[in-house]
Amino acid sequence: MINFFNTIPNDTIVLEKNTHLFLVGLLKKGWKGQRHLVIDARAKGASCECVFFILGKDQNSFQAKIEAIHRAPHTSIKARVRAVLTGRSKADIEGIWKVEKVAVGADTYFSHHTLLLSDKASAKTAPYLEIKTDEVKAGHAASVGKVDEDALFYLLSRGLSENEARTLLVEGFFENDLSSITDEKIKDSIRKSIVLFLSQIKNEK
Amino acid sequence: MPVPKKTKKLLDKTGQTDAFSFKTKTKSFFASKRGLNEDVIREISAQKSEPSWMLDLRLNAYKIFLKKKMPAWGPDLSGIDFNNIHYYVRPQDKVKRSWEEVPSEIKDTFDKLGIPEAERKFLAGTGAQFESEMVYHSLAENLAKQGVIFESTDDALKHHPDIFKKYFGTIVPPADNKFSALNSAVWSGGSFIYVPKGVHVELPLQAYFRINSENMGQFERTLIIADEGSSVHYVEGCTAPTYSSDSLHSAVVEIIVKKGARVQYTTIQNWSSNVYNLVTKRAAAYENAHMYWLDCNLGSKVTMKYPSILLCKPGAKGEIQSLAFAGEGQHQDAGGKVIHLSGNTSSTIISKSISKKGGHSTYRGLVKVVPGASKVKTRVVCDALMLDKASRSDTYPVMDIKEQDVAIAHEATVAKIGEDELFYLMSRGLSEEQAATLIVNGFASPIVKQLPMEYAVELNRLLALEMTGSVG
Repeated sequence: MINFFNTIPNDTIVLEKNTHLFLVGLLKKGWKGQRHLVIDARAKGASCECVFFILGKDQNSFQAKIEAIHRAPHTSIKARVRAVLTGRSKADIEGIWKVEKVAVGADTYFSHHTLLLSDKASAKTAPYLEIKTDEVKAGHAASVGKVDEDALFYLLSRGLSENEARTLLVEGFFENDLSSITDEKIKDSIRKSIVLFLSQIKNEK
Repeated sequence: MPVPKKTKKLLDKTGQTDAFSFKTKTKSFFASKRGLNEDVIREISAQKSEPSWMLDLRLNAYKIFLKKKMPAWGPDLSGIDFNNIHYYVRPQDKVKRSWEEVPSEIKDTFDKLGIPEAERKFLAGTGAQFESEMVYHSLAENLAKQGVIFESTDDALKHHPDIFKKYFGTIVPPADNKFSALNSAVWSGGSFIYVPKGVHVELPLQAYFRINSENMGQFERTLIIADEGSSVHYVEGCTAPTYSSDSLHSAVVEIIVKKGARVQYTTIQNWSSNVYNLVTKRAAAYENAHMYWLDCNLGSKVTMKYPSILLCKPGAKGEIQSLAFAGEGQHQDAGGKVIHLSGNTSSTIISKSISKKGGHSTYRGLVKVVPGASKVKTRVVCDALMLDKASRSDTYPVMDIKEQDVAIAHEATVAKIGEDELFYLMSRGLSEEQAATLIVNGFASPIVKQLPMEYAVELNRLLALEMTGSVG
């Protein structure tokens, strides 16, 4: 079962025994202040996977705190955030991943990757980990950068226009995490939104 | 710190494991009463016959210290009783240049720690600080001739007032944080290094810090200036005996790395488990300069230390490698900060932490890129190894990026010792403890490898000591 959002919910999600939750978010509009999502794995065997795509333009601000708490054995909480930022938009994501002492066998992961497409866009990322037991698999990753110049050059040399090449690379950037979504309909609609979003930036120029 | 063979033999005989826990009975030349007030600061300044600007700076810093609040984040510092600390203990009347002149009981202490022995073998210069003052400072003659200055910070204030005043407090101002304010108010001892243009100090300079008395506060102040195209490697080691009540070590280190210069600052911190180690270390690197912090934290009750680098001009490069080992009752809150103030700068932070027996290790880091600092590259890697269920490992990296043309990457992993690895090693005939020690050594080796040979050997030995009795 996939739950689809157009924002980061300002909510506390409690995971009951052996529930498996899949959250997908496509975020095209920013918000004021900080949103706070808590994922609380309270019962054994619960798992939750989140994938959030941020398409930021103009002055949009995407500020959020995502808190994942492992409070029971053999729980899994994984979240991936990918953001493409244009204009003066900014993404400020704090990921706080906590594994309590009882949560042996926890499997936990958080990633936040940002692609900056304008020189006024900015990103802040703070992937925190607090681990109180040794029986865990924990990791996080974050990156901030622009479109890879070498890849762009390669595509241009293959005869693509600069716009085509950039679009292809940005799509590729999202594709990494899109592949984990099994629902083809949702996947397609997200792809379409990305293409539309990219064509709009070109019109701005 | 390399332990001399003599001491090692003695330790083996007596079955002791901690080489540094012995206490020395000494008569202090002067010791301030417990607690801190303006009179204590005036007394310190008078004892050192300082110029009036320094006394003013101290008194002003004291006011800032009183105003600033204790940090609300990070480890528990409630055990520090500022009124129960001796802020200044002067072990002898002045810094000695010859080892023979040092009072015998202090000499004996450092002999046991292997200080002059190490100097003869592989160092270009040595300083030794006992309580509040440097008791000994020496520098190889050929370097002194080339204009290299390596003195206690107190002496440098007297001998080189102009250069001192120009740089002192410029990288870490007193108002930076509560403990930098405290250090600025009561600082004493530490090393002052000036390397002239184009001079390369090939062998490391070393300083050794020893807290000997109970309830002692050590507040050394180190200032390193590497002029254009020069290079220097400074190594510091720290130990203290174990007492029932706590001591405080709060140092400030400021480093200026000018155009094309290179500075490496290596720390092997092995304070006893009753020392609060709260240190502010920061370096500013200019065009094509290279600053490298190598930070190994094994001892202390609480360590809060985040070596920082300001990359001020294009081509500057910063590197921070830190290793932390948190045992029973210890909290190692370490990490690194890099602020990219200019474009075309690059940095690397590599942090490895090990926690065992309820030890608590934390990585806390910051990478900041200001608007307009384009073509910045940075990579942060934190790995944590947990040896048992009671231990704790936290990671708090922050990346604040205000520029588009950058490549920023961060990754972290937390893991326990692999059952498979243990099983394999044990099937080869190693005991569980030996196997675990080998795995810990392997985990730490990318950082240990960066140390000068003698120190690397010693650090591996210290890690092995920490691992004794950790399994089972």
